[in-house]
Amino acid sequence: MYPHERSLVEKFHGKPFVILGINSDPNREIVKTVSVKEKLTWRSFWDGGSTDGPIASQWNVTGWPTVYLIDHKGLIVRRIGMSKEDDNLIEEKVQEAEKAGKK
Amino acid sequence: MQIWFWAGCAILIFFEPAVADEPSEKEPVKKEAQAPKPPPKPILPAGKPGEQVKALIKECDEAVAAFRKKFEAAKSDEEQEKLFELMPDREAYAALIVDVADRNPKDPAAFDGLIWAVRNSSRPPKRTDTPFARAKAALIRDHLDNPGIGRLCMTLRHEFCDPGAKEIAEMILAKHSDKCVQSQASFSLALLLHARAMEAEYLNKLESKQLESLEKTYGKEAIAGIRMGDKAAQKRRAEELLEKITEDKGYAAATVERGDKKLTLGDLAQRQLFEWRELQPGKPVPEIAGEDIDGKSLKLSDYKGQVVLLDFWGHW
Repeated sequence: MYPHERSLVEKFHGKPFVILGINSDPNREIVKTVSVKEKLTWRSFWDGGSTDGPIASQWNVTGWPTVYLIDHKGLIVRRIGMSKEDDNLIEEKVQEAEKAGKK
Repeated sequence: MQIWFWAGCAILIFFEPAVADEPSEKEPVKKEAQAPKPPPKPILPAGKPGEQVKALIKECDEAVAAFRKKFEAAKSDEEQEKLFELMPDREAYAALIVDVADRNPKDPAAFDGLIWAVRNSSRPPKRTDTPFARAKAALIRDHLDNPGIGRLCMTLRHEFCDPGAKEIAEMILAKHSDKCVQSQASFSLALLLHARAMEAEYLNKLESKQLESLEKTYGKEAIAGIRMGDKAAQKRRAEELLEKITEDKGYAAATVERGDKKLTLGDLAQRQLFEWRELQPGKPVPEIAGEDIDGKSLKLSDYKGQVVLLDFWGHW
């Protein structure tokens, strides 16, 4: 998971793409340590220190990781995983965002 | 975390039933440095049926808890992998419990044992000889009137490839008037119907080779049953069933255990409806406003104009 996310951040560096986490770890120190160790440069929402946090509950998340792709217009594209097909979809959406940004 | 732990166990139970070993209860405790030895196979204890069931459940639950403690304390993946050999054989316990229940269908302890067995054994598709399939069959055959039967529905709520799961929920919904049981059966049926409708969409996009492979795993009839279902009607009924749970106080108050917490079906139904209605392709993403790990404020809408990968994660 981490290497794949890092590769996406690298691939779309300078482009309209961002990873935002919603973290359900039991304490913030774990997240800080892991972020340094695994070079996680993106920000995460703090969801209250449990898997029953308010954001995960509202979004009905019961399995981790769960990943949603959101386009530049703020519309949900769909839930995605790490397949080649999903990577292509992200790329397609980043290109759409770039085009929209240039208009 | 625990979700992945149990998933791992389930996969292991499924593919690698623990090796039979001589019961060796009186063997002196060996030093930890020696190679780990799989736990002994369970033996049916003496006593009345109720005592037998209780003793088996207690023994297995304690062994699993002890195993889990060791597993969580393991410092590396390799260490954890080695520990899997020490995992208690829950299938064997479940088989013994189902035997007791089959011999004593009228005993109330049989019901608790069977519910334990369906919750704690693996669920390979199509098989009728597994502790899971036998326990499920015994519950329907001998315990359909039991006021706790809604727990069977809850256990089966993700088994959408098993045509029996939906039928059981329908049957219990029709038979019981108690609001808690109604709520549990409705919740389960809603999830099953919705999942079957979604699966039908997926199956109808597959090439014939992929479809054949799924038919081989789950059975031709099971797959055909999913494909033939009326997708729109199933989704509509699923939503109606959940709406009823959120609207009726008696239904909403029914609870389900998740880990060591109790959640109400009212809450769960509401979250599920939110996901089905709002978290769908093409829908505007709901705002998330809160703080980041360092306590600084953070809003999803700050990133409009960019593609966002919204990643629910934890380091486990």
